[in-house]
Amino acid sequence: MAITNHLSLLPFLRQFPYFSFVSEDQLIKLAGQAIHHNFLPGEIIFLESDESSGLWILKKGRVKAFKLSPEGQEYILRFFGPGDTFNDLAALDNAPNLANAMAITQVEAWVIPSDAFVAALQEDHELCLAVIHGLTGRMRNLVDRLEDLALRPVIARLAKFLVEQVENPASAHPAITRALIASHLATTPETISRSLRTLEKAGAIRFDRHRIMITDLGLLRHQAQLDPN
Amino acid sequence: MTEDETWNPQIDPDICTGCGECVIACPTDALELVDDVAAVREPDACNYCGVCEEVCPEGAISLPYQLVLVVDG
Ligand code: SF4
Ligand code: SF4
Repeated sequence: MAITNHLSLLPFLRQFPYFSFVSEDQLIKLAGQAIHHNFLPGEIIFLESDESSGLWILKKGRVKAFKLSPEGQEYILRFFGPGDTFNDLAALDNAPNLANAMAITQVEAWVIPSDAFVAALQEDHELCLAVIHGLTGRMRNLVDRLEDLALRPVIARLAKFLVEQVENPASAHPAITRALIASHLATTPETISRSLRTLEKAGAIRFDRHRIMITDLGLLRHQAQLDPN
Repeated sequence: MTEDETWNPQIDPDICTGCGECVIACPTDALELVDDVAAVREPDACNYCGVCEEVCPEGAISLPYQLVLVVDG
């Protein structure tokens, strides 16, 4: 790929917290090794336990990271949107990917190979600090999910899911189904149907054909056992 | 897929066995079998009751929803 293309990648990379304070030289090196990819909706980006492909940088579209049980039951770990990186851990330890990743819309992304990423870390202190910061956030998110699964009843998990989806539209799923919510919350679609009806009766949401209207965000946050803000 | 088609029951033709249970169960007659696969024939009639999704023994039908935050005026 022509050098000019890689130079035009610099301002894009700068927007990511990992690369905000990296030296210009380092960023040019990283951009030079980044590989461009496009995916169609439903296309697998990588599979769990495949060799790590590197650090993925999402430019356009939505991606879901998910695990499959031996019976084929899907459990969604997270959605990613423009401006997110993913596969950070496998990019760092060069061990196999931790989860599967699938494009849920048209996706445009760049991948920085693990070797290049790790080499940059060895040379750039700012990059190290930014990555530690980013990974701390990921870790907190995982502990949060663990707490949800272990301690929150389904109704609270569902309410929290809905709150997160509306409060963070960039990484929200554009069209949600009962099955999708169920696989995100590790329960069944039937339980999700019942819980949605409970939230409707409580007055937190209302159905308008294909729309789920959040009519009382405060109440929904309360149901989610989140602090008011 | 057009914007309108997104917001109708989605039937996966690879999973549908053409058993017709959804067609019988649909209270608005919105569905029919076309070449042994269920299809939404009358999208305007569909009221999103979700019965088809519930009765399909194969899990071939899903209703996509859009989340909308209502802000009080
Ligand atoms: S959602 Fe209800 S009205 Fe619409 S096709 Fe299914 S069963 Fe018929
Ligand atoms: S109930 Fe399911 S499998 Fe049977 S015709 Fe309808 S979509 Fe197809």
